[in-house]
Amino acid sequence: MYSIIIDPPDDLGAFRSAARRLLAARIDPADVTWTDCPDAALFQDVPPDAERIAAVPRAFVELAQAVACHRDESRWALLYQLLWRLVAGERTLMDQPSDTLVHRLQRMAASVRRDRHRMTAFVRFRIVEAEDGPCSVAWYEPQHRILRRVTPFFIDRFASLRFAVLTPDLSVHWDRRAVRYAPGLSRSAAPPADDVEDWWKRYYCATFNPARANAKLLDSHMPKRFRRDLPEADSIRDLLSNAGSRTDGMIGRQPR
Amino acid sequence: MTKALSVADKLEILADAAKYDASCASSGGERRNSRSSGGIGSSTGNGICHSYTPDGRCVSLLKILLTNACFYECAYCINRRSSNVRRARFTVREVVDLTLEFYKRNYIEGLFLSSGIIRSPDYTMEELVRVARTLRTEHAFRGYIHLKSIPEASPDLIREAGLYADRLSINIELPTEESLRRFAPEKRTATIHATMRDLSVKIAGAKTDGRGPRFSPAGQSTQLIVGADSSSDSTVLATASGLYGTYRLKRIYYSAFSPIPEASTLLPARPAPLVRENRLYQADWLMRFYGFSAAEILFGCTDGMLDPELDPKLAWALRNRDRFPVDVNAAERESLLRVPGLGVRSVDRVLSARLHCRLRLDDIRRLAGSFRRLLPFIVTADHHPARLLDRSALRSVVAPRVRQPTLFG
Repeated sequence: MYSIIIDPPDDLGAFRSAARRLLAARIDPADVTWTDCPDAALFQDVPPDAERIAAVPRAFVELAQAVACHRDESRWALLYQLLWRLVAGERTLMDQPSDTLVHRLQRMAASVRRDRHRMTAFVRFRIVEAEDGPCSVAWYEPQHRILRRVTPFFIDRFASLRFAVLTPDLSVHWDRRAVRYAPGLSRSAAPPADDVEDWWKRYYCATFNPARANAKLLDSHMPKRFRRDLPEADSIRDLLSNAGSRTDGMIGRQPR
Repeated sequence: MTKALSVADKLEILADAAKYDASCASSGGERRNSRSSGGIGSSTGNGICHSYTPDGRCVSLLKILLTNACFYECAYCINRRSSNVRRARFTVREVVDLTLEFYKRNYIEGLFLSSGIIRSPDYTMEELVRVARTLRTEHAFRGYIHLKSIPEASPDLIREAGLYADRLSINIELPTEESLRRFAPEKRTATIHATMRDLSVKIAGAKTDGRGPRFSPAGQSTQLIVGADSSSDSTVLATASGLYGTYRLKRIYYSAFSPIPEASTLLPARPAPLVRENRLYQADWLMRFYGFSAAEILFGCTDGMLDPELDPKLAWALRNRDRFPVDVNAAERESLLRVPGLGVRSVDRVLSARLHCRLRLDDIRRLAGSFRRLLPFIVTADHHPARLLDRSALRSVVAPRVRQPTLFG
């Protein structure tokens, strides 16, 4: 039995290196356990040093990049199982979305993709005045370990600004030239609201049409668990509870 | 105005005045970033909804009017000249600053700017263009800009608008010329069409000639109000299908007429049901991505109206039972796209998977989103529906369990 520790837990490079050694030694997926936690290893065996460079399809690499961010503890074991089957001769496996293992991993990748998209949408910066000038700071709690994957999005967008995105796992700082990662921080590290936030909340209320109030549709697009750190979401309850009377008022006032 | 309004007051008035325009898309633009521009902003080509209001609609852009003063008298519009609504007007600088401050905080993808018509169409259009020009040239803003184009504005202004904007739009407003004349006496169907044609020629031209000046790379869209006049769904869809075909619009937005404060007496007493809008969007989707024609979707419908209780794809399948069941292991892509419950992505997955094995029900369960409603319509290696059920029995199997919301339900 072999035990492989992948630390930090989203380190695809460490997985790749371990998987190559395991494949070179033809070690069956059933004989390997994978863990994030350096202390958890029950089996001290390490696989041999030789690495086998197996050609894997591009689709596997893309899938693995996404799955590596997933919080499911079985992610590395599942990826190794898939790799095992790919190099054992199932060359077209990546084109078979109906295969149980491929299907499961693709769903995990899709969950990570959705989480990344949500993060680009729902991060809210607050501008903090520091000694060396303003800095945009956001605290955000992603579902998966996606910060490293989402950081290029924010640099593309805000290259000329100094910013920091703080998450419970990891933080990132951009000083207009270089990226620096630092340990994660809890919600209490979130910066206080700035002046523009109140304008944003007023905008959010004004752009809502009470005659179309639809709490179910709102919940399906923006479930409650994602609203906790959105400043505008504080207004939702009042907007919904007053929508009926505002609409009746409009109809009542129609001159007829 | 008796007392000067603060920027926040104006924001409230001018966002409220702009919210009846349904469009908020930020997709379809060029890929770009700010890594070397010194400014801010990026676009991946895919839109981002930064929030949703309690009506379930996406908030992607700062959607405001430059001013809600207007000398037009469009009955359906809250800003028409006879309305008692509070008036406000932003300066160009105020709109630019708001856009940048909101953008920096990641509230929005960009700006959707429209305006009431003041002084003249050219004057109004010039103001809109000034905002876009300032954002792009002074601030190197690379976020998304959607500008309303004013139908009667001069060609030079439209050309400049297209240089800065990702998308331009002009609202067709009502499905027929007669209704437009009745509800919007200053607007002319012919002028709106001429402007759309001009935009479509310029958009296509800029696409073909990659080195020429940029022109509205995310295309043009329009909005149509449903239920303010007596036009049927068949009239609406015929108009829509004509617009997509003639002017290659990116999107048509259908906006169920909803009550506004200070409403005109020309308008109907009751708002249009939201389910009607929903069915029109579904039909629109079928025309654009599933190979249906408007005539096929509407064939057999009563009084030219879509069935409010069934989505139009299911309704079509029930009227065309001889085309089912479809064998997922053999059918062409076109036939698979017509199966209720199979979306474009599911169809592509089915086509890919069946190259490697004969698909069984368990495979379909993993490949398709909605499994239960598919069963009566498909054949797999281990499943053949006895016969396509009659409509009432079928409904109990596939009918949606969610009641559609009505405005006052």
